[in-house]
Amino acid sequence: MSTLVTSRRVRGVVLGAALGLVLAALLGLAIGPTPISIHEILRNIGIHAGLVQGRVGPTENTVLWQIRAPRLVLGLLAGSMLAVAGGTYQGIFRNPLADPYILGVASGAGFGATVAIVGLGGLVSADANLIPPFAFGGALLAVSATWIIGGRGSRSSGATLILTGVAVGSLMTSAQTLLQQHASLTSLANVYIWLLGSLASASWATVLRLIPYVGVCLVACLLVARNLDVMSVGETEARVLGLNVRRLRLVALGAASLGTAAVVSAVGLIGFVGLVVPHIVRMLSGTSYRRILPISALVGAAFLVFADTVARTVLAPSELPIGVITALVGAPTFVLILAKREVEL
Amino acid sequence: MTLLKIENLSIWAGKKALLESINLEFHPRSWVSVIGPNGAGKTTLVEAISGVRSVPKATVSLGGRDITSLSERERAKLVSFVPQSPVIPKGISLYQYLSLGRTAYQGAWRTVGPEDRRIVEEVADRLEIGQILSQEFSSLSGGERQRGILARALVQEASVLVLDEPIAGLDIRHQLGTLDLLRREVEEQDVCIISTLHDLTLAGQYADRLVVLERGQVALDGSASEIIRNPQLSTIYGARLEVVTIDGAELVIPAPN
Repeated sequence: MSTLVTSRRVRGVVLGAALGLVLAALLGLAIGPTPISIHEILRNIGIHAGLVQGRVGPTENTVLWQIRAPRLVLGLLAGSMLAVAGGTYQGIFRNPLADPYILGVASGAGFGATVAIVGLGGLVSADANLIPPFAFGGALLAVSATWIIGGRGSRSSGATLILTGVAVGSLMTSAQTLLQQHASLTSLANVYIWLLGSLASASWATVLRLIPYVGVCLVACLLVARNLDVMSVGETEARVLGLNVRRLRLVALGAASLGTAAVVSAVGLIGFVGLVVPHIVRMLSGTSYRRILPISALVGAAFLVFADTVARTVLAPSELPIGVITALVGAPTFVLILAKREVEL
Repeated sequence: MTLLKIENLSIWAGKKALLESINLEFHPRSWVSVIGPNGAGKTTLVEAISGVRSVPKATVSLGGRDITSLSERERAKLVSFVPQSPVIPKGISLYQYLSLGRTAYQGAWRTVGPEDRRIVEEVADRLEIGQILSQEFSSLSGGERQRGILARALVQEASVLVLDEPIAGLDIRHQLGTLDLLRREVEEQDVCIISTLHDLTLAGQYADRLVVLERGQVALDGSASEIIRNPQLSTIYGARLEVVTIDGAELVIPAPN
């Protein structure tokens, strides 16, 4: 039986993903302690764009443009980047278990954030403002270490890199655990809250800091999608076909890791998006990364915005960590799809 | 004209020489089969000349250029390679699989163009798989799949086609079909085929020239009909071999005691 996907079906999937994204965005803007109807949102946007005459309430304006909109954009950026990075890693390693955290980004960022939250002896004093730069630095440190140790030499393969990533990750995690031994209960709690991720700190400043990284890295991942398709025949044959596998690995893993590190530094460790979204998209739209990556960007963005809306609503006024929601929603969905379709893993 | 030249090539695995002081030249419109007992270095040799395995500088040259100075893309336009067990990707059509053979001709920004499409279709028609291009590659029969794999190597349009055991695991009809097809490519497309083959009878019938490897060194090198009659062959294989002629076809068989 042929499992080839028709282009008509792909168009359907793209349309569905785009509609889902618009719906998730509108719900994200509408729902909250001060509900704003979708009609009011559209009217507000219309007035700002000069398409509609009228006045908008100052409260509504502030809630919409200073609180919910930056949070929405942050969710879109983080969701699309994580999903595309996950898909890119899966393509490079030809390994369905690969996710954006496979080369040590998560543990590196966790270590960096812990340094910022707990402090590091007399060297660094605890300061929540330092969390983003430290998490970013820790993530890049871990990925660079993985690359330098495991990615060199003519015999280096994807498997070597993954194993090195595991080793570097363990090292980072143990360093983090060591730091936590001297931490107060409050800062321990803060570490764990950070580890589960949140968009609560969203502001236009965060968004503007993130845009260059996510923009460049997303584009880079999308540009190498065609080469990821060549990788489907394995590293050796891809080389025989004329692909510079080492350069592809450097560009793709560099972009996916840098983008992920930037996202993680802003919103913490949000799990499952990078693993599940590319898989769902692959099942719906076929195995070509030229489809998987762009559609994953749409679906990942929609999924994260939806998850964030749920995370800040179900226990209002307090918030659930978004990582809890992405796993709660993502894991069963994933299992259901796996059970329904016979998927090649 | 020399397409491929090997000069004093040695490849070491620790202290053991996999290949030692190999000197060979290959020309267009010829089929050279590399034979020899297990562990003689056949696969190492074909991997070394196809860029799968890295080689020392100035030992392998393709079209007059040192293979180590070529980029992946440049090399892929000069030599294509079919490994013993190629990866069979899932979820892509035969057409998409064949298009992978055009990778070296596509820039970072350019996808499959009309020229690529024309070549893919032309090769597919030549190999009689033009009618099934839209079918899923991994669901094709063994024989069709083998043709697909050869076609992917041919759309690379390289003048040297290297194959490692191209008929391993095929039934006798598909073995002969594959060899006939490769023979036609040599005659009609002027390519140089370099293959390893286990079956001495088929190697003798299809190849123009046989290179016999023994413990990493070239033991014999000459025309196929000459080599299969060389008494040294029995010594190299450690088994008494005899050539019998039936209806003009020469068969290499183990000699009865």
